[in-house]
Amino acid sequence: MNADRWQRAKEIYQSVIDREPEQREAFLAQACAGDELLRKEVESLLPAGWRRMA
Amino acid sequence: MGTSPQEVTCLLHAWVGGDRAALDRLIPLVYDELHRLAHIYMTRERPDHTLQSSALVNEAYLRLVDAGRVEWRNRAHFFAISANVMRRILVQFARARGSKKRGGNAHSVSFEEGRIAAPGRNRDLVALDDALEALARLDAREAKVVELRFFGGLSAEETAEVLNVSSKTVLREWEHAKVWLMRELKRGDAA
Repeated sequence: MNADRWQRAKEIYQSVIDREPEQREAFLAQACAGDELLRKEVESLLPAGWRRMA
Repeated sequence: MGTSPQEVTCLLHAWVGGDRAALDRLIPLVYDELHRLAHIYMTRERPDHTLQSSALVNEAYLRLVDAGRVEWRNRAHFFAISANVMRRILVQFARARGSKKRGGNAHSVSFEEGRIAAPGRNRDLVALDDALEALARLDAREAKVVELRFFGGLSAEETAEVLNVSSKTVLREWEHAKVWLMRELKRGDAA
C-alpha cells in the first residue's frame, strides 16, 4: 500500500464510522466503487457489527 | 548527576521558544535519566510485569525538571521528547533480551485512554515498534500520535499542542491507529 491509498482508506473508514448505521453499507460500496482491495482494507479495520452499531 | 533541575528547565524553555541548540543539549540529559530509570526497572522486573513507559517518563520529568516553573505547553514538549527517547530505549532493551524467541501467547499490548501501559513482553514491544515504523512510512503524523500517547502518556490535548493540530484530529487519528496496529499485530501473530 502506498501513502495515497492509505489516506483514501483512512478517509473512507472514518466516514463509515461517522455515518448513521443504516447508511454505512451503501456509503462503503459507493466510496470503494468496485475497488475490492480497497473495500477489504477498510472492512478489515471496521469493528464486528459495524453495519448496526451506534 | 551533574545537571540541576534549573538547567533542564531553562533548556526546555529555550527550546520551546525556538532555540534548536537547546534541544541538542536536552536530549542527552533526558536519555541518560530515562536509560537509568529503565535499567533499574528492568533489573527488578518480574517475568509477568507490565512495563509502564509513561510512568517512567513521568518519574524522569519529576527528577529532571523544576515542575513549579514549567508551564503546561513546555511540559507537553518535555513529554514529547521523552516519549521518543523512551521508545528507543525500551525497544533496545527488548531486542537485547532475546526478542527472536517467539511463543504462542496472545499479544499483551493494550491501548487505553489517557495514560497507557506499554506492552509487557519483549516481543510485543518489538512487534509494536516494527508496526509503528510501517505506520510512519504511510502516515507520519498518525504514527507520532501513537508514540506520544503510548510511550509518553500524553493526553489528547497535550498531543494536539505538540503536533499543532486540534484535539479532535488527535482523537480521530488515535482511534484509527489503534485498530490498524491491532490488526497488524494479529497478522504478525498468525504468520
